Amino acid sequence: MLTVENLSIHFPSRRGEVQALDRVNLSVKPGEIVGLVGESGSGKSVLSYAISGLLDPAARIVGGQILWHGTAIAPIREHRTIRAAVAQIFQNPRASLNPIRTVGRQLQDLAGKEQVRPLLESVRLAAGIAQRYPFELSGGQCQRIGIALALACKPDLLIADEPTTGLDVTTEAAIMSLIAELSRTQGRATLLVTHNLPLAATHCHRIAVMHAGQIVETASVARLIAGAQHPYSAELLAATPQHAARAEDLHVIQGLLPDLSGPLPPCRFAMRCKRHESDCDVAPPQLASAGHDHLVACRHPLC
Amino acid sequence: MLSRLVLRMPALAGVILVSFALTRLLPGDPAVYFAGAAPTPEAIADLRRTLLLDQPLYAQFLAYLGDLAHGNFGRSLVTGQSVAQDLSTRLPATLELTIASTTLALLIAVPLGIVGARQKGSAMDHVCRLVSTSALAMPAFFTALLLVFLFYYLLGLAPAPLGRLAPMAFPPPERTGFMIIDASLARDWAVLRDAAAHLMLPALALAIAGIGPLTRVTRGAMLAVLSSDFIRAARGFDLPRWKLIYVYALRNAMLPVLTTAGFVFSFLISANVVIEKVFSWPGIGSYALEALVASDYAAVQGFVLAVATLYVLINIAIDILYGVIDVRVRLGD
Amino acid sequence: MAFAEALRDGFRRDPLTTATAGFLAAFCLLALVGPSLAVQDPLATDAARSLRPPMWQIPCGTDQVGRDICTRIIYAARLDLFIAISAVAIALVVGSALGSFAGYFGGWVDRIAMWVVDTIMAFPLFILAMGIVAALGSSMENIIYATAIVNVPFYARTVRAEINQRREAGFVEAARIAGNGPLRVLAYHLFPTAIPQLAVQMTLTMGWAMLNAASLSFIGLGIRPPTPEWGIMVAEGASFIITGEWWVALFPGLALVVVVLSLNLLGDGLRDMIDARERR
Repeated sequence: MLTVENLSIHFPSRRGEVQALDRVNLSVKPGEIVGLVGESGSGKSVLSYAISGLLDPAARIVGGQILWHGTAIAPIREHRTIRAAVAQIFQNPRASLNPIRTVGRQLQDLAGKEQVRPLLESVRLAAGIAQRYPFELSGGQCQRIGIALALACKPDLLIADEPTTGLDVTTEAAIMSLIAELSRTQGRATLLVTHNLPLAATHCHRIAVMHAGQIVETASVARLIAGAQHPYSAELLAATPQHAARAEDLHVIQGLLPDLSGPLPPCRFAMRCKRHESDCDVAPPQLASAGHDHLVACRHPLC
Repeated sequence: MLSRLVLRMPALAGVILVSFALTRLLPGDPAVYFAGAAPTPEAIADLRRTLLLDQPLYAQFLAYLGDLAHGNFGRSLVTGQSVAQDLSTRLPATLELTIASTTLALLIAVPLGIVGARQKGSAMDHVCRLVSTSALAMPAFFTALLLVFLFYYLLGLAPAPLGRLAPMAFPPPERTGFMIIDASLARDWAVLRDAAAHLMLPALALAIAGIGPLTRVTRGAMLAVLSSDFIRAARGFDLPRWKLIYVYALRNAMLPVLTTAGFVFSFLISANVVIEKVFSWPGIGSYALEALVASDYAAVQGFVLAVATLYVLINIAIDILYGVIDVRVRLGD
Repeated sequence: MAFAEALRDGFRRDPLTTATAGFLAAFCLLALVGPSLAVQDPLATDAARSLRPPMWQIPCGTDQVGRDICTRIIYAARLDLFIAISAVAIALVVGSALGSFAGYFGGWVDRIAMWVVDTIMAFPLFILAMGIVAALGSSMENIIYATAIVNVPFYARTVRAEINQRREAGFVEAARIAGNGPLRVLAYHLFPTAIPQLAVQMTLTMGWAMLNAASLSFIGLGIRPPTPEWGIMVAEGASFIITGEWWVALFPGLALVVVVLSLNLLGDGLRDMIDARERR
């Protein structure tokens, strides 16, 4: 349904050209839930905005394309020739809502008066909420409204960009189960963008791991947990708190994300990688098969 | 609303103090002026006593405060009537002009600002910015003269700048003091046309003075709103374009625009003085000018106080308006 | 100094602002030197030449008593510029002092200073200027004082905001510990941080000060004729607009608009530069 092929995107900025995405490859099939996991600044949001068509106009595609059912679509919605049924849920729920309009009116603007009640019901909100303004609602309620607005567009692909950051753990669980259930019952695909690997592992079928604008590994959740092959994925798994018995045992991935506006090595993890060899600096690693439906971009994978 | 009024009390007190001080410093002796031709020293001294001019300053101030408390602004030396009456007679003319020009300014500036924001960086945007920056640099009196030259002398489209109606015209029965409204109420269409024609040029001259700040604020506010998160989200939900711009973006951008409109309104009230001179408009601005020349203490004091009070009221009105539009303020979160 | 660097940097990137600055510099030069170069006497009347339209020898025409308008414009430039600069300078000094003390010491000093500022701002500024000139008398000095008083709030607020922001900053503590008395800390350490914003305010209010002075003269409360000043010249030309002798009012008005426009453009350019710098 959605295929991102070798997508590279650059942004002009005051410090130079930011190479936000480098030859990103990703695919989402109808009905599946894919997790896009990476640190803050890894380019996950850029990719999700490009797919939604909400990218900053200053950004430009320097290579590759985004394909929706086989047709190439632009990273800016207004330039698209076909309508891609993609809707996005945003990181800061309250900021994504019109502050001076009741949430009911906002739903009405998209789907018509009759749909307001059913939409609110589908996100488990009472019908009376329609008269409220965003500032009168809690973070969790705002996010449910955000989900309702996204659903009102009848999307085939729902992109959830860090939907639970800033919400407490209980609300997080509730929102995630809502998203997962909606995906399941209505057969739509979901792309969950998050830095929280355990969260993705709980709710997704497949996970794509991203580092510094490059996709380094994609695999089903089971295969990834059982045996991650890219050094970065392995470190991410090791860094999750469940693996540590005590606070001192918490594993930290050394180094920092490279500066994307400066000169970059072909493999952007090279500086932080324990398995780095000289041939890693010659040419960029390609995503290659490492087993059933398992892709890794590394010259020296773990297996 | 009461709390807002209280907050502005100290400033208002300062205003009363300053306006009293200023006018006591006015040159000229009103007693001499009022006494007429060939006055005797006794007549002048007599007048002095009546006008309380022989009392020490603080006594005069206290008397002044007492009068104010009773709504007594004193008596004008020039017209012989009470200042309060003079001001209330002439205020509608000024208000009509100011309201007309502020509305006109908004009608011109808001579209300019929207165009500039939507086409940021384009040639059109630069043209709009140049227009607003140039408008800021033009003094109202110069704009007025240019307009008179263009529309009256060269094109013959506007009537002569001699007041609110043609010299021989009969004004409609006065109900509000607003010529446009009164003429409409009396269904006197000829007078309505005449009044509107006379209102056009001075209103335009003042409006041009106002479009500078208004265009900039509209453009700035629209730019800020258009790049905000909720607009991006709304784009993502495929909200129809016109609804996005005019219902979602514009309404949110209107908040600073309306506040600025309020300030422009206040500014235009003082710019009125100059315009009323050019167009012989019988408002409180020209009243004040005549009073200044004649050292008419009470009239000048009354004028300054009236305008400052109007200022305070306008500021309060802006606060209230803000609350109406931005529900967050109204529901007091 | 970092500020001078920022200016040089910014000017290189923004040709319009540089051009405007250059124009203003040239204008100031003309204003200073022009009267010595001018061929004609701005006050010389010649009834035979009254109300002549613009021609070769009289590029701006003559007014109702035969004076050459071009010469008068050049002489007036010096006067208007002097008034604007003096008014801004006084407002700058008084406003900065007021704002500095208010921002640094806080408490009742702040409250009194802000009461003064609020009182001034509670008046429509032009009306206040009118009142002051009317009360003190029509003269150049009084126009300068009136314009200065009316501009004090802008400077006071700007300085107060900047100083308030940085009052508790590390470098201020350090200066205090090093033994500097409060006045020294204020003058040498805190106040300089407000200079960039002040520079922006200065150019913007200078244009407004010019318009203010011209408007006061226009309504007869300022400089008295026959001294050449742009506002009076427009006032004198006003009555001739209706009879078609447009040049008497147009040229002085145009001169005023062009200078104020340049000042505004310069102020805008400076503000963009300073904002960009602070954002970095």
